[in-house]
Amino acid sequence: MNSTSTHFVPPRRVGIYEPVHQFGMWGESFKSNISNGTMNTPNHIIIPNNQKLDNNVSEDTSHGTAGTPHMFDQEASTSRHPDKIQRRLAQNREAARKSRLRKKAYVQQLETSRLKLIQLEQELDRARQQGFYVGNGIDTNSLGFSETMNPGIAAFEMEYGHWVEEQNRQICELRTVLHGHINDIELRSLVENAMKHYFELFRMKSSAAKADVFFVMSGMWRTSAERFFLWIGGFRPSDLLKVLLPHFDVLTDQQLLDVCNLKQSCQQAEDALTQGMEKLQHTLADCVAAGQLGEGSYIPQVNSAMDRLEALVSFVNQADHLRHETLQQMYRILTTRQAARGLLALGEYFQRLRALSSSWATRHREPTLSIATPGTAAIFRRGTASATSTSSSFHGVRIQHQVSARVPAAATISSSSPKPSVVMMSKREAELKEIRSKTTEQLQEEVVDLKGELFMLRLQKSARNEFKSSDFRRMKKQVARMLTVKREREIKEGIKKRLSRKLDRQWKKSIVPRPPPSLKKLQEEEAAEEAAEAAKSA
Amino acid sequence: MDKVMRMSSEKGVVIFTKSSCCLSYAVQVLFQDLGVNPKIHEIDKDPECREIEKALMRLGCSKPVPAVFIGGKLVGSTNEVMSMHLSSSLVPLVKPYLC
Repeated sequence: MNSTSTHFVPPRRVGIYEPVHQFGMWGESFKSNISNGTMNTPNHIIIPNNQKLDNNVSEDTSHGTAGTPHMFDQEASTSRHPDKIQRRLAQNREAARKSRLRKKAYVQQLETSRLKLIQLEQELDRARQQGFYVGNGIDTNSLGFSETMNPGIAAFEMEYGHWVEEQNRQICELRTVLHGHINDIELRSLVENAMKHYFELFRMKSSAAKADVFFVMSGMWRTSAERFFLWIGGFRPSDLLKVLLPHFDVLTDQQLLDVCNLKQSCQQAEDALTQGMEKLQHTLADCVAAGQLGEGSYIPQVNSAMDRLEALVSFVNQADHLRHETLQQMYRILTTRQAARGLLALGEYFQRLRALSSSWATRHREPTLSIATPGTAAIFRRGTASATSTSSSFHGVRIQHQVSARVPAAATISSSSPKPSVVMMSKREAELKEIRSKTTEQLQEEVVDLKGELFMLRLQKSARNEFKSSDFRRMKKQVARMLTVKREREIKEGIKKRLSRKLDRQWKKSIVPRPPPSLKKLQEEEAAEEAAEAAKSA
Repeated sequence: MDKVMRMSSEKGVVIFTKSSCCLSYAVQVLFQDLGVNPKIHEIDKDPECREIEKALMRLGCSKPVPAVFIGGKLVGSTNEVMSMHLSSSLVPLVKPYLC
């Protein structure tokens, strides 16, 4: 332990006699603190006393040792207060121990949570197998667990989730196919698959209606925006036509006629069903409200109402039948390619509604994000931009990802925002804006200046003067930014890498070293001082 | 059975309904929209309600009401009516009976 102090000799021979007398004190303090890694060299031992060493002795030892870590040079000044060092090191130890304990506690917490999670998942699987009510998160407004556990409804919700996924896949396929080339036979099979898919949905709905017609009527298995347009448990057939028709530019006369007829008959059927529903509501209301005031028991009313409610199931079935028939007729009237376009339009319409539901649901989340980050308006834009993407089922996840990457995202997105109406801009964005506003020649001049400043910093550092070490990083990054912008502009003009490198080399050869602004300022100040002094003395 | 046949040939368009059935009401409204004035038989007001129901079911309707007869021939229940209407085959069928 004692031997270690022999290694700590200052590299500068100049100052050797100064800190020599401090070696002794060092030795004592380091004896307790130096741990494992050091070597034992029994030859060079300095007696760890508080006495002053002979200059001769110290000279010998100092000459005899090898290179030393010069960082302890700086420790020389603090060895005058061994107590402080001791105290600091002790506090450090305490802090380290506490931190270790905290980490241990945290890890234990994690382990228990993990175990709990596994248990919950097992329970969930078991429950699912038994057909309990499981909420299917289509959008962020999804149901959790419902109070009533209806196996038919649980199955329906799961099936609907799969239906939506399959729907999305089909839409993607249709989209790529319509952009490219496909022969009619394959297109026809695609279209027929899509039609079958819709019919499958109606079949699912009818069995769900038998299980719980109110659930199907409520539209809770759909996203909120879709629910807004709900008509007897689904979309309006007339809406379907409205969505499809703008996408057909060229229709034959016969087609036009047929479409017109279909539109009219669809509307009539829809109105008939609507009126039927209204009558049902009236009769049901009358039923429930019937009887004397204050009778107490309302079982007769409830019973008669129950009979009437059976009709609701048939209404839902009729509505679905209407949708089915409308789709079928459209398919009959249109050509295969037109039908494909129509199905794509319809599918995209519902996708957009789902995306709308998602972004509407998350529109209140953005203000909380903006507290931590600078450009608030940019965050709003980011939220909506992310939400209008097609994959609606991943919305929740996507927003979370962006939260974790919020700092760089905010900087990049808001700086690329075209609207200048956002007054509040972060420092970095303001800098970037300034950089972009300069011309390329100005950028080059700035780069040269910055490099000069970096040079000055390095001088300061080697002269052991005072300097801000953060300036190094800051300036280097500024240089990088400017060069990036310069290269961006080059790319826009179409200059490839080789040519760009050539131009770079030319530029570098051509620059003339000149004093950077900071030096100039110093010189000016000095000149001003001298002038003032000269003026004073003169 | 005969009663049903008799009743269904009384007028061009005959609909058998029940006063409690709102789906039949919807079918009624549809025909009225088309400009036809169908003859409505509310079979629950009829004393032979059960037999008429049975007869209608035997004729092929899965549900006794609403049952639509056009020109004495059974068209069907709501499903058939809607399908026919959307495929534009209902209108020509009722054309002779427009008022």
